[in-house]
Formats: sequence, structure tokens, C-alpha cells
Amino acid sequence: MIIEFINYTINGALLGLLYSLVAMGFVVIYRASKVFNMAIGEMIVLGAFLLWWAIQSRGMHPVLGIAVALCISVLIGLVIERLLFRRLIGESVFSMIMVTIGLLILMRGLVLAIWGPQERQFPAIFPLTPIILGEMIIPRSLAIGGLIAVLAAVALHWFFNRSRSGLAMSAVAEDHQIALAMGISVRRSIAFAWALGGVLSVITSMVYLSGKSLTFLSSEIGFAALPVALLAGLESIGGLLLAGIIVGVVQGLTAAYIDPLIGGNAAAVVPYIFMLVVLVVRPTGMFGWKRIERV
Amino acid sequence: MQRNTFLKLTAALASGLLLNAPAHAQSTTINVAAFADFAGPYANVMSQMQGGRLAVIEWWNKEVGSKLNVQIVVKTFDTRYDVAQTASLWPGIKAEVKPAILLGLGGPDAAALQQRLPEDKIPMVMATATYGFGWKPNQWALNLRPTYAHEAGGFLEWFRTTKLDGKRPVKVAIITSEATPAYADMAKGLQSYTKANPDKATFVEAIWTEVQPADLTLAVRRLVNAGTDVIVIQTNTAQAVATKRALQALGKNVPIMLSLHNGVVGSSKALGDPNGFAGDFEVGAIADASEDDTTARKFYSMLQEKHGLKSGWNAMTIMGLGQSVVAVRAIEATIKAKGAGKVTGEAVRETLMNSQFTSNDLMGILPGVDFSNDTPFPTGTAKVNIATMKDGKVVRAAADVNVPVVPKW
Amino acid sequence: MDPSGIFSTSYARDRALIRTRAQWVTLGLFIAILLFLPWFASARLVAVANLMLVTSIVVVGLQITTGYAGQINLGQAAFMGVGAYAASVVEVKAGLPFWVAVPVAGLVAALAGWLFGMTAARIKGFYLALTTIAAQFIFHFIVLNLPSAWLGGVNGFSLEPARMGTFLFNTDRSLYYLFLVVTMVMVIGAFGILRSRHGRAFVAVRDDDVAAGMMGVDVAGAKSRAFVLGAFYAGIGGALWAYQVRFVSVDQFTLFNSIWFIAMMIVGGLGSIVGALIGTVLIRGVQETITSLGPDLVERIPSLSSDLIFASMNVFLGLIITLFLLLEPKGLMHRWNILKTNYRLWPFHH
Repeated sequence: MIIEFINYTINGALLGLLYSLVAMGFVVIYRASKVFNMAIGEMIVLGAFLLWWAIQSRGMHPVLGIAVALCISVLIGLVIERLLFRRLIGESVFSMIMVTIGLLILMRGLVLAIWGPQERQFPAIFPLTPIILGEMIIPRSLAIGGLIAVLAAVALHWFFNRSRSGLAMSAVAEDHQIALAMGISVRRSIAFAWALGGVLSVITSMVYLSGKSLTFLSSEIGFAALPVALLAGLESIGGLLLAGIIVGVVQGLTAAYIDPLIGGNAAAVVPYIFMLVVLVVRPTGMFGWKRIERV
Repeated sequence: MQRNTFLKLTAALASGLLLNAPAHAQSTTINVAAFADFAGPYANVMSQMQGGRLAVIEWWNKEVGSKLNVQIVVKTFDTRYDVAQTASLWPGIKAEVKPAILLGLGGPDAAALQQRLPEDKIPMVMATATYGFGWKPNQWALNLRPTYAHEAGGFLEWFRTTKLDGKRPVKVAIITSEATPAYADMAKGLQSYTKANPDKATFVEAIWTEVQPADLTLAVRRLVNAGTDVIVIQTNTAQAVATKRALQALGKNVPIMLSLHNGVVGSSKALGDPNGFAGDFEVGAIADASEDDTTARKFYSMLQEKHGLKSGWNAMTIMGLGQSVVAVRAIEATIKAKGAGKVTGEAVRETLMNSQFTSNDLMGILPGVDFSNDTPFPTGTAKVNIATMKDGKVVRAAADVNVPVVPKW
Repeated sequence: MDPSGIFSTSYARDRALIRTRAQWVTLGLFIAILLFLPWFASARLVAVANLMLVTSIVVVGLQITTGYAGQINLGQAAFMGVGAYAASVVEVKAGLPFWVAVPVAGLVAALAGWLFGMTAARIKGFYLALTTIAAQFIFHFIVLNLPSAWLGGVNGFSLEPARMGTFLFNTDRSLYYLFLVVTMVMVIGAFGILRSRHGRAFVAVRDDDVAAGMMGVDVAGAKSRAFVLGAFYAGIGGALWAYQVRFVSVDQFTLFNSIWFIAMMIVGGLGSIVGALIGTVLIRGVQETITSLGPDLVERIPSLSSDLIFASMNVFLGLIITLFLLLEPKGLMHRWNILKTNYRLWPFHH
């Protein structure tokens, strides 16, 4: 019983780390360009299709395939920046959210048009055998994904908070105009943000779909991971790990113990309720910047 | 002079006769409207189904219709699997196409048109299994297959008698999602069956997960530990694949029961292993997709050779074939009863309610249809076909298995 | 702004919404066209118009919450669903006629809006957008998991046509007139609210809520009111939807629907009621056109497969919205106003 509980907790935490990986793509774009990327789910699906195309369709070796997919997604990120967000520098938060919503619809349509709606097999990039610790079973892709999430979070946290260019980008997240006034290239920052977002999307899709199937509906995970981003606070990258683990554990335990009781899918809605509760108490999330509003 | 006049008169008479002759051979056109989904969740299988539908109409027009001087014309409309789109298309279809019968898809067209068809007096036939919300009296939206629970029940009873020697109730679990009411309904239906037949089946648990699950290992382990005999997955391929991966990780082999739209071939393809779902089952109250030389297969081959059917021999095509076959048979019967000019929606529905089509009428695709005002799906004639996979091919496991009685839920 | 040469000589005239005789005439013509539409339009067009009317009520509500008061609301479809279900419950369970069910539905949805509006007092910007997304998922969960006897569960609700005395609203034409009347009432109401001090409070809160608070505007109250109003409109729209489609089910009110509502609002222009109407008409019009043209295109150009054509609809629409945001982020109404001003001032530039 106890072992089962621990198993559920560990798996839940690992799933939560997957969510934080998704949320990282979101937060990175926000952190470096002040854009809320609602299209994060679609970007993950796009990354997944690029991987599928490289490895399954073209038959490349997985490592080469991953490299190719990463390069193409960086390019796509740069193209998005060039076409869309360059003109929106300095515009209101609202416009930018709306552009990403338009981007969401556009990307979904493009994915459908290019690859069609068939279910595709997604390559098993990570070994399929699970990690077995005594009586506990831990899916290997999730475990490796968790490790990737932690490493990525640490690296990005160091980058944005300690390195010079990272700090410059944080200035962009505060205010475009002021950053420009300080001589920081907002354009480059945004381009970098989207390129990095693209890279993270490919990595996330690897962890999420390894060994399973892919279809355009897989973008649902984008919305599932948003509560994690908000729980952590939109500017905090390190906080994402904690938020992810919390949300994942809560969801995993709900799915294991409460869902069978009530005969419904409470696990899907529990992250949102949890997020609501926390936001009411701390409106900018656990570790988000507290904004000082000047009048 | 007289010979000239005579020749002119003969020429005039002959040309008059010739010109009038085609007028007698003028045929009646009967319109049929078909709903399709080319941009929504079922777009990937739409072309197969559409191919099946159109080929049957082609065949009927040539073989039967030409003798009755009737031609059926099909107009297809894309509803994107969206209720609003169907609702906005409907008045136009009703007014301009004036169909005698509709070939529907499933969920959204049933939802949008369920209440309107009785007033507009046009019946609709759908080849998917019935959902709980479609099980109402006096329906004009008819399903050619009983509910998912009926189909599962038929399989479970077969499984119990053949694999368990009928000694104990089957322990069944279902993996589904709350993403749409249709999916959630599958669990309720199954529970209704198990509750009504405690000596035949026990309900272990319903696992609620996403449409694209991230990981099901622990959930499936819970099922395995509870001694589940069969896992039912009637939703989509992604859940089937995730479950299979979970079973592989656990090293256990619990048979999975799939439905036709997420059958063994499609799921194996998505898994990446052409024989991945060997030993699992796909169940439906319609002809199975095995290579056995059945009447249905012969019909399909004939359509392929003579009527340009390009779709493959799979569940989707078979559903398209089934829909169209019932539609044309209903129209045919109505023509014979009332005459070609009187084929209205109302007349066609009357035919559907009062006639019983046998398996022979329906070219072996369906075991038969008998609708009644209480149940908008076949009850007495319904039988399920169970297929499994062996060496990467669909193989028939059992044919014409009885469908149990399931109380309405 | 009035063109030069037109002056007001009384306060009433100055405050009026419709100012010149030409505007009255245009409005009259427009309403006449709307009234006579079913006579010269095809049946399909009337059905499309019905859908547009219902959707426009919801989008006007969204415009109040998001366009005027600046509170990002990504859960408008959930409020619409609450209204639809409330109307169904009143009609099916309580047996009350539609002219009770529709206002009750609006009120119930307004209550739901109030609940989420309360969070708006503390939570701002994108965080607020996410709490409204949470509304979508919570609505979905609650409806599916409450006992079927209460809210229909997985079976949804089936409704009889709206009934007034012995007259049944079961044809598209009769529904069209019903919807037209309700839409006109709601739009006039929206204009009225937004020109009052509440509307000005909304705009103040949108532009800078801290400054507005300092100037004595009840910021929390204004935000709450914005949500309540927006949800009320969504509830009315949902109730009308229930009477049109006559089968209510949870998957008709998803997050994607909310996103489309926002898209309609953006295309029309933020902060303008007329813009909301135009955006709705335009986007639904494009959707319907592609759906109608699709089968013909497939027939005429057989080399293009049907799934390509229909998938390109999504691409096309996404492209329109994105282009709008890049080229004209203030929407069509802004462009229209510029055109109008240029026309009036021609040949001068300003």
C-alpha cells in the first residue's frame, strides 16, 4: 500500500516535471520577449512532427534526426519572430496574446495541411523498458525527461539570472521601451526566445510522445501545463520545477485514488482548481515578480 | 413528286420518333445528402468511408437503378465534425438538395439534427455505434449498429464462454476519457451491462485519462493487479497505443478489446509494430475486415473491379459501404412500394421502420437491420463480428455472435 | 466625431447616439434589410444568419468584458454553456416557457461570471486569462460528472422548440425574427450601458486601473461588473443557442470556441460594439463560404484532395487573424474610422 503510494507520488512528480518542461518553453519565451505564447501546444506538436519526419519518414538515425529537428525548429522560431513579433515590439500585452492565439489557429491548420490528420507512430527515442525499483515501476522516458527538465531548468535559471545576455533579456521582459533605451537589442532577444522555445518544444515532444503515437490533437498538453507556469509565477524558471512537481503529484494521486471513487476524471481539473486557489492567495504565483505599477 | 413527299414524310416521322424516344427514357433523380469530416478529428479516415459510400451508389445506379429508371445523386457536405457547422448547413441542404435520406457521421450531426429531423421528416443513417444520448424513442437519426455497450457485451459473453469456459464472470475494465460526452458515455454503457448481468461480467474500474495519455503504466498495473480479464478501449488509437506500451512495460498480456474506428491495424501502425496488437480484438456489429472470403468481401471486390472503389478493405470503408447499402435498399423498397416519384424522407423512414432487411439484402455487410420506434438501432438482427490480429493481418475470431440485452442508462 | 458643418444646439442632441438625419435613414434602411432578409435570402443564409446573431450576442458580451474593461476572458464559451444548460433545465425540468428560460439563463450565467469576476479583483493580466481558462475546464467537469438527472451528464439535454402561446419557433425564419429582436435589445442595452458612467469606469479600468482607483473609480466593482455583464450576454446567447440547436451538450462549449470568440472580437476591433458584430459576421461568413465552396472546389480541381482544402480553412482563418493583428491591431473598426475621417476631410489630410 505504502509502496504503491510512493510509486504514484514518484510517477506523478515525473509527469509534473514533464509539465514543467512544457511550461519552460512558455516561460522562456516570456522571459526573453514578454510574449505569452498561447501556441505552446502547437509548437510541441510541430516539433514532434519534425522529429517524426526526420526519423520515421526519412529514416535518419535518431541522434541525427533530433539534431535536424532542432535546427529546423530554431529556424521556425526565427521566422516567427521575423514575420510576426518584430512589428509588435512595444505593443500591449493584449495584442501579443492575441497574436499568439492567431498563431495557434494558424499552426494547427498548417500541421493539418502538411501532415494530415492520420495517427503517426512516434519513434521510441528513449528505451521502452521501465525502471524497476523493487515493486515500483517508473517509465524510463518520464524519468529521463525529469532529469532533462531539472538540467534545463538549472541551465536556464543560471542563464537568465546570472549571465550578462540573460539579464539583458530579462530587461526585455520587463519593458520593451526601457530595454531599447538601455541599448539592448529587443529584436535579438525575441529571436533568441523563440528559437529557444522551439528547441524546448522538440525536447518536450521527445519526452512526452516517445514510443507512442502522434496526431494533431496532442497539442492539448499545452493547456494542461499552463497551470504549472502560473503556479510558479511567469518569470520564475527554477520555480517551475517545484510547481511542476506539486501539480504532478496532486494530479497523480487524484487519478489513482479519487477518480476510481467518483467515476470521473477529476485529475484533469484538479491542477486548475489548485492553481486558482494559489492565485487568489498569491496573485503572481509562488515565485513570480511582484510588479510595481507606476501611475 | 409523290416519291419525294413520301420520303420527306418518312424522314419527318422517323426523326420525330427518334427525338421522342429519349423522352420516354427520362429517369427520376433521388437526392441523398452525405455528411463528411475533412478537417476535424476523423478526417484521416474520411476518404476511406467516402469511397465506400460513393462506390455503392455507383453500383446501385448501374445495376438496379437503371432498371427502375431511377438515379441516386449524392451531395457531400463537410461538417468539420462540428455541431454549429451542421446546424448552419442543414436548412440549405433541406431546401436545395431535398434529400430522401442522409448519410450521417456520428456525434455532431446526431446532436444538431436529432430534434429537427422529425419535423423536417428526413431520416438519417449512421454507421457508427449508437451513443447513449441517441437511444430515444421515435428517432429519425438511426444507427446501423447497436450501442458500444451492446457490442462490448457481445464480445464479453463470447470471451467468457470460449476463453473462460463460462465458469465465472468476466472481469472487465475500460479506459476512456471525459474529453467528449461520447467517450464518457462508453463507460456508463459498459457499467449498465455489467450491473444487469452480474453473473456474466464484473466491472473492475474505469480509467479516465487524456485523449493523448502521457503514461498509463501505473493505472494499467492497478487493473492487472485486480485480475482484469479484458480491457475495453473504444475511444481512439492513442489510448490503445499507450495501454499497449504500459502492458509491455509491465510484462503482462491482458487482451484489449478495440472498436472499429481504432481497430487492430490502425493501432498497430501507430504503435510501429505491424503485429503489435496480435491477440487483441476488434469488435463491431458489421462485417469484419478479415481476409476471409465472405459475401461482404466478394461485394467489395466486385465494387473494386467494376465500380472504381479505391479505398482499402478496412473498417471505415466497410462502414461507408454499410451506410450506403442500407440507404439504397431503403430507397429501392420505397420505390417498389410507392413509386419512384413518391420517394420522400417520410416514406423512406416508414420503409426503414416497417421492413426488415436481411443479411443477403445488405450484401453481407450487416447482419440485418430492424428498426423500431423504441430503438433507433437494430436489436433482433444485431450480431457482432469479432476479429483479431495474427501475423499482421486481420483474422476472424468469431462471426455472428449474439448481442445481449442492455438496459437503457 | 461629427463632420464639420454639423452642430448640436441642445444637450440631448449632443449626447445622442444617432446624430444626423442621414444616420437615421441609414439605420432605418439597415434594419429594414435585416427584417426582410428571410424573404430574399436562401434558407441556408437564414440559418447562417441565425448562428451569426446568437454568436454576436456572446461576442458583444466578450467585448464588454475584454474590449471595454480590459479583463481578458478566455472562458466566454463556458458562460455560454452555463446559459444553455440553465435554459434547458428551466425548460425541461421546470416546464417554463422560453421567455422565462432565457432571462433566467442570463442571470445564472451572470452569477457564474460574478464568481470568476471576484478573482479579477486580485488577479491581473495573463493570470486572469488563465483563471478564465480554468472556468472552461471546471464547467466541463461539473456538467459531465453531476448526476444525469441534474444536468444531463453525458446525455446532454434535448429541448422542444420555443413556444409562445401556441406558436412554435421551429422554423429557421421564426427563429430568425426571435433572435433579431433579442439581439437588437441586447445591442441597444450594450450601447446604453457603455455610454453611462459604468462604461466610462470600464474604460478607465482598462487604461490604467491603479490610476482609476486613485481617481475614485470603484475598480474591484467595475471589474466584477464587467464579468457579470459579459457573462450575462453569454448566457442569453447560450439560451438562444439551446433553442436553435435543441440539443445541448458539453462539447459545444469548448476552449476552442472561446478562442474563436476572441478572434472575432479582435478582427472587428477591440473596444467597439459594432466591431464585435462585424468581426462575428466576417469570421463566420468566411467559415461558411469555405464550407460551401469546398465541395465545388473539390469537384473542379480533383488533383487537390479534399482534406487539403478543408484543412486549409483553418490555415486561412488563422492567417486572417494573424494578419489583422500585424497590420491592423485595432481591428476593422479602426480602419473604417480612418477611412471615414479621410473621406470627410478630403482633400485635406487632417
